[in-house]
Amino acid sequence: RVKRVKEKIVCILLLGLNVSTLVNTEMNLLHPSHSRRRTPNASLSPTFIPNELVTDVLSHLTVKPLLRLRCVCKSWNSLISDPTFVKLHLHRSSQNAFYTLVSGIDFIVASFRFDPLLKNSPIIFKLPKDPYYQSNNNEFQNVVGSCNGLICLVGSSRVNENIECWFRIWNPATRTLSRRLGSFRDDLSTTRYNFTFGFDKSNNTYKVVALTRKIRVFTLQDNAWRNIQNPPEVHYYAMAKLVYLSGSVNWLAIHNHFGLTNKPFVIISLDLVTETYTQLLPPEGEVSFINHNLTVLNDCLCFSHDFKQTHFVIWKMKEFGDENSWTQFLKISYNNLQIDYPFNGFNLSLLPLCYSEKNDTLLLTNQYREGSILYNWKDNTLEKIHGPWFYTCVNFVESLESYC
Amino acid sequence: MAEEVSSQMNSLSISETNPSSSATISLVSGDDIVFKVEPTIAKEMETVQSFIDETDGKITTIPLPNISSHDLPYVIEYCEKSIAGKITKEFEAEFVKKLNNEEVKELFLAANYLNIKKLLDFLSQVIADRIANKSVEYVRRYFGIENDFTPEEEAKLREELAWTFTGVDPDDEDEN
Repeated sequence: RVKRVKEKIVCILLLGLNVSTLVNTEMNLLHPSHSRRRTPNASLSPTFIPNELVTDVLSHLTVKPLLRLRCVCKSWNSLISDPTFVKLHLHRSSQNAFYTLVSGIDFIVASFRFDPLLKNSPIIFKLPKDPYYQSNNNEFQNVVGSCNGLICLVGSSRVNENIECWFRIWNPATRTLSRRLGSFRDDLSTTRYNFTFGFDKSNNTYKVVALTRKIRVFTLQDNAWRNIQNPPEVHYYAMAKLVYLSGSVNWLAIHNHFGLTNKPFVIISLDLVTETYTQLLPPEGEVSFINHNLTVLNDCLCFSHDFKQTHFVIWKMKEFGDENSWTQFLKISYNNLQIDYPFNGFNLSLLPLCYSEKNDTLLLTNQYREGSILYNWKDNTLEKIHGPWFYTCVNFVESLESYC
Repeated sequence: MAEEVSSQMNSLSISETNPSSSATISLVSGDDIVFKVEPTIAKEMETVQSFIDETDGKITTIPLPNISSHDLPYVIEYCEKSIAGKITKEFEAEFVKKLNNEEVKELFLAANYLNIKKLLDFLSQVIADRIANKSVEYVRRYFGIENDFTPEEEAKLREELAWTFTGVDPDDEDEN
């Protein structure tokens, strides 16, 4: 009789529910063994969690325990390595992204959430021991970008009259470092290369963009460099630092007709999916175009510059792509920063790295004096950071992504 | 027959403690206990709400054969807090403190069955937190999973992932 009652209830539910709900509840309805008609602790066998829910639980774990749990059974091992799961995990993990400061000394990446910066000491990610790495006085390794938990490092070394460049993809969470990728040699006299690293959503691949007189794109999927078309106008890429934001690579360029216009600068934005360009104008108004820098500050495109050799100014593009959304974010006197005019003859050596709205605190790095400054714009207080010198800040998210 | 009588008595006693209006929804647990809730609570439970919608609101007694009378009050409590906008970290911490591992899993299944996204997501994180620092053996027991690796395969994988085995809590059998 009990069975009949159950069947009846199931029928009522089946008739009453719409199709989409049916799909969701099907498992429970068709497998009465999952129902728990018992008081807690009355059964010896553990409550059974169906596979799709196990996947959901696992996607909430951080990388280290997840990798350990590959040892649970064969199906977990393949699930945790599955690209669909890797994406699901990345999606969840993105909600816990944090700003990672990168230090150039001994190739370590020091990482911590920015908010409790003053209280916590940094976590140090150590680059794994690398069989390919050859110590060489002329070799350096530099972080050029971070995307989906992968960090792109660029290295170079001098070979006779040439310079050899390559990059590696590093996942600090899974502790994997790629072999040298995209190695190429060039004449030493070549303008120095600028690189950045980003993700092409449509083609589901990572791309490294190199900017010199030409623009070249390395697609991880194809494992090859390609020259792409230059921007519509010919530009002189003075001190161009490439910054990656929202699927595009951006840099500051000077118009070819320099001197003929009061707007000599333009921001070139290269869409990584279509590999096409758009142009954005820097902020209008009292903007000095001397000693400028284009950076990404807390996921916003920022334009910083010197003002009359007395102040440091930062503009924020609130809506990426909308030139009307430029807002002056901060104007700080060098006096308050307790530094002399930070001009080294080429460009402004002050670089904003990240800020905390909650704590009214901005972290800046003084590139040529190798120091970092924490500045509170509300109380006008300042703290100099000793120890590792941070030269860049990346928005980091733990992921299972690999470079293949 | 005895079962019916007892369930009626139960439903009566529950009704007394929750004075109801004509608009209330009756949720019937798997062990035939009736819980009267406000329609706003039912709205939080997608499965229940779509059942009500499909019948144009004519049927207000919903059988929930997969949910026990032990779990349903927790679900209702969470939904009430959710409607009131009072889901705080403190409330969530208190909420799960009372629950042992089996109860968390049962509630997780209930949330899935009722399609309460917030509760499902929250409990998913709770389970993840509870297994995060546990040994592989503990997790197998927790999910009732049989190890299908050969000893050689498992040893090889463990060696490859040796660095992930640091900082694991010692197994505590009493936790369930």
